[in-house]
Amino acid sequence: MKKKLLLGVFTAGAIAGGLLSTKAFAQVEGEISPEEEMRLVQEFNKMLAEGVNPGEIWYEVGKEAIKKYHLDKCDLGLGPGVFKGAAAQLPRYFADAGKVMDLETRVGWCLQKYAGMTQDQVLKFVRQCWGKSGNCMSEYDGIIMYLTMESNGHKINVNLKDPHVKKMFEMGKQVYYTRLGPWDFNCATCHAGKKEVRIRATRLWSADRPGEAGGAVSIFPKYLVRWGMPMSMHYRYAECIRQMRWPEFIPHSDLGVALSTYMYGLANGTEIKAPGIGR
Amino acid sequence: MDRRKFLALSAVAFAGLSIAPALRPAFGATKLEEEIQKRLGVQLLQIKESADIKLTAPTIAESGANVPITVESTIPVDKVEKLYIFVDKNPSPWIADVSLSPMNGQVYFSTRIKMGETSNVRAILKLKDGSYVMATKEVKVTAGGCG
Amino acid sequence: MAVGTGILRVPKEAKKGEVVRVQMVITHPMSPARKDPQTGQQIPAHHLTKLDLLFNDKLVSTINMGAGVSANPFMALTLKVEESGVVKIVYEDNKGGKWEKTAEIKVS
Repeated sequence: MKKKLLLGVFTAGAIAGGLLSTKAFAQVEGEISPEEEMRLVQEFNKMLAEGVNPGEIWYEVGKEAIKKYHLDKCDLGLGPGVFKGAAAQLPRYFADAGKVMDLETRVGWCLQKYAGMTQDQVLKFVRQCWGKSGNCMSEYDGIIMYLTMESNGHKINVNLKDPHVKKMFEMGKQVYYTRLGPWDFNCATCHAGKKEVRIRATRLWSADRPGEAGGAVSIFPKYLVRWGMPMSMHYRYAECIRQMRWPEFIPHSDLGVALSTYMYGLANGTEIKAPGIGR
Repeated sequence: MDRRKFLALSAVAFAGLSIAPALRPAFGATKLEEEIQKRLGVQLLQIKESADIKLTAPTIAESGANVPITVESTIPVDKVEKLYIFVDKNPSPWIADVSLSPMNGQVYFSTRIKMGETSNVRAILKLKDGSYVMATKEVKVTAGGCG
Repeated sequence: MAVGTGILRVPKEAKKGEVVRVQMVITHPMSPARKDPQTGQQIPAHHLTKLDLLFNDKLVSTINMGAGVSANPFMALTLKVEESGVVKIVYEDNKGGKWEKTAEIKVS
């Protein structure tokens, strides 16, 4: 009887010891609160932004491409070939095109005019690296990176007093808040409202909280580490729109210009600081 | 029950608890231990953690593709030979090594590493006197949100 | 893709004896050997293997690395400057690629 009792206690001790040292217990101890998780994710993004941004490599690519495609003739609003500060005053109305254009749409227009591309060729040029999850460098991304970086430090100043621009701003706002598609989603589903919206531990910016639209657009093109390349605004629109199950977004379309006018209009006063970096 | 019996039973239970970890099946050296033995010529167990070496890495990484790490040390760089970076659970735990010289001015190295899953990151300094010191940080790799 | 393109960033000026930061970004896929998900064929590894940091042609540091370093890797080291000169990085990958970049520092 005594031997059995001793054996029982010994075994119980061994099992307890084994359990205490397993992962199950460790995991319960290691759980963190959602607020702490968000703070740590923000800390991660801060660490990522230190050092040199790999997106800057595209600056030189763009500089060469601008020469190659004769974009030194392109007038972004400050005169042909005047690029310093030009991106900061876009979108704007262009009399020669008869419409409001944002940076990417204007570059597409100039590529047609000065590099002899057809609209289809421009679209192909824009989408060269779309869907490629790494090891891809396109001249288009380079051009947009170069032109945006030439406005680093300049404050965004979209001229909302211009009636053409104001009209686009209102259109963009309307699209932003209109539920569409099979899921009844819109930009506002994720990026609006006074209350915080999160996807897992990432806090999303909101058009209804002052300054946040500026914080979001002023760092585009944004280098995405998961793709090893920068993402331009129109690629961003295409991805959001795809994820919302809206009909396919066409780069440089009026929809893109309307969204840009709304968001950059909200961002007036924010200094451009490209490239940003993120997951 | 009397005191003797109680003490005897406690001793037996304690003995059981102590050997419990050894009852876990022994798989042999981990890939990390093998790499360290191969590249440093010493066993991981022999390397001490030291507050003299500082490893900065995020506690949570939204993407395992690009985890920022920085290694610094108060140990004068003249006394240091090499710095090694390991990630315990990567398919290949060795990430990089850096040879340092007095011309560096200080022990400093910063880079971005890939991590397949939540794991320890280790920075090991080999000193010129042949000894090793280490700093370890666990980085939790999560899948980020959509977007 | 312009594999091997690099950015080498050092302060333009420094004081004698100052420890400056040398920051670099190199365009490189840093990919490990893997199987093509569609064809099942083995794709060989393609990554940087070594980076030497030199000052006025004297070797300061060598970084040995594998595919565990991120794509388009950012790396930073420090350099104690006693005189003006040229910072040079020479780097190579496992497919025979070899590149270098230089930057000048004026030390007073």
